[in-house]
Amino acid sequence: MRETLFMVFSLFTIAAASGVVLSRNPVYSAFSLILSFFGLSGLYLLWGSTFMAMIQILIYTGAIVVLFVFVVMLLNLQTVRENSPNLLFLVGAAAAVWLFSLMILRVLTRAIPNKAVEIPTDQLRAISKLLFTRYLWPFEVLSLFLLVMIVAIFAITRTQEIPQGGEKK
Amino acid sequence: MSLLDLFLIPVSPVASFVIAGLLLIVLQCIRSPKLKGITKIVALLGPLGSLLATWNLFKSQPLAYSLVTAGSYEAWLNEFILSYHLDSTTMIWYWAIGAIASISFIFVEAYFKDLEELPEILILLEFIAAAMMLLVSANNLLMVFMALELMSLPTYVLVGVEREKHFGAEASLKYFLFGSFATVLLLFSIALLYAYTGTLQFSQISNFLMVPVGGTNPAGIMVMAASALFIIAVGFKLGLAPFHMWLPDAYEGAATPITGFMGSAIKLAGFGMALRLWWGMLAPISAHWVAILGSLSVVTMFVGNLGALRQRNLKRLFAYSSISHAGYLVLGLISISKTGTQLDTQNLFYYLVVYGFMFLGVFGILGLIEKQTGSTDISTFEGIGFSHPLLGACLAILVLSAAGIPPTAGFLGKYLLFADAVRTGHVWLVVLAVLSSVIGVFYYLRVLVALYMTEPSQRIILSSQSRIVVWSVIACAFCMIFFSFFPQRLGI
Repeated sequence: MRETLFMVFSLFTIAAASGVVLSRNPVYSAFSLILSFFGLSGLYLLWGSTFMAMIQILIYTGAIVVLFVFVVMLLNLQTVRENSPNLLFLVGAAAAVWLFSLMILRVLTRAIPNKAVEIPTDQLRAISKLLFTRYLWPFEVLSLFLLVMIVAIFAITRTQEIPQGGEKK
Repeated sequence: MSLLDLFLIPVSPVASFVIAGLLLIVLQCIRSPKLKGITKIVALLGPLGSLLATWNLFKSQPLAYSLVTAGSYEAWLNEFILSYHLDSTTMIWYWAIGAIASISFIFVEAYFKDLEELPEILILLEFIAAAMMLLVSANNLLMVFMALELMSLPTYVLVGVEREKHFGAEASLKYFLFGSFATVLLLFSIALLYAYTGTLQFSQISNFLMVPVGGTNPAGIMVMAASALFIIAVGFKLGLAPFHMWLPDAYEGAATPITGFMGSAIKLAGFGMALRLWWGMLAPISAHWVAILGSLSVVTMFVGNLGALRQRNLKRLFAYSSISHAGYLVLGLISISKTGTQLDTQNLFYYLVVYGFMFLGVFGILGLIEKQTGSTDISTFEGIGFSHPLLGACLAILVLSAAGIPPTAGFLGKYLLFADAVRTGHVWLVVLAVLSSVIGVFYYLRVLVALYMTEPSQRIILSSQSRIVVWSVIACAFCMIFFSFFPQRLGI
């Protein structure tokens, strides 16, 4: 069961990651990136690392990829035009292959302990407990920070109200 | 000791600003024209309450607090005591921040009285002031980082709050980009130190560094890289010379009272942080950074004073002047000596406060004139010494103090700093510093010439509502004379 799930998530991640590189439309690339992050977070879940799985989706999918998509939309990028495989492409491919083979070699030549590092099963509870006991004071300061940012955004995005029939102040 | 003594009273100066800020937010939710007048009064409650709370804290023997051994309380209280540094030095810092905040709130309220965003500006200022107090009393790198960001991010917004005027948006963007770059460097150096020592606490890091670190082992390189990054990041924030590019633009682009606040209070808090970082944490390896900071300070003085020579806009002129003052202050920072475990910070603090009130007063006057004429060019100020004798006299006193001419506190401050530097062996730095302040006298005198030796080019009529601003400016100018004759009032 575990092995099957591992294979499914890995293949899914790899397929989505190749979608990022291979698709011609940058928006499709960004969406494939989201999919590959979901696959990765599934792998984290399999290892019992619930916190990492959640943060992976929240931060990468929720914030970073959305930012990518915004940039792509704002810049109004068209489909990248067809290029023939030039020197830069070859160098990039060679570097990728080299890095990949290094990692594979490392995995194959080192005896990997059968049991990975024991991960505490209740990570979320442990982190939230620390946040609300030991690190309560920094946490409260952080909440102030969020409040200030909301006010600051109001201050810069507020448009001047134009009175009826009058000129803008 | 109860929770009251350990937590509530120590944070009360900070909490006063926060509560005033929250009250202002609530007031904004009730959209009633009657409450508009109350807004300004509530905003002033923040700094005044903070001064009161500081006085109360001062009376209740803060030294006893810092000696409390953490460990026997609840987890969060232990962590709070460890992360909150409170001694007589911090207390003086609180006084200065409270006083400068009160005066700049008056300036801001008068300058922006017709602007619809006034409440937002006041709310942001309250939180910035609270963050400044957290910054000067931070005792671990986590609090330094959070307080610094809580202080900087609203400031970027305040610089650009007048989008249509001048080039506020451009200045804000420039300040934001430079500031966030500095933040990244600071974060990187914090990470390096954490990786090496495994703690964020100043005292524990300091103990770690007591063990001599060699130049070639990887750990030594890590510490060296971290301390170099600290110099760059804090240099950006304080506007030291190779990292000062953003400062004239940001100071010129921001609205005048905001610039006054940035140049006085934020610089004060920045130096408070620098003091804690270098003398509280990196003191054991001081041999490595004193020389670097010393050369930075000389470069900063010359860049500031030479840059100011050609400016005709007084706002930009005083922005460069503040760069040169940062140079003198860094010279003071590196020549702090230790008696026992106590640092002799009085002379540095004296100069900081005198500089803070000087800058604030000058920008109060600039704000008044700009509000009436729409310009801060030097030609606007021609003949003001005759048409408005009181304002002219105040500006003259403040400018003389900035130049360091004897009867003012600016002279005494410079003298004390330079004497300290000579005592700790930085004779050559002092020679260069004196040389650069002689250059500085030239452009300060140009302001005086415009005030008293030229015919008024236009009539400036001040509105009667600006009386409170005039009184605040007089208070700043009075400080320049008062602290010169009674320096012991500032703990000298």
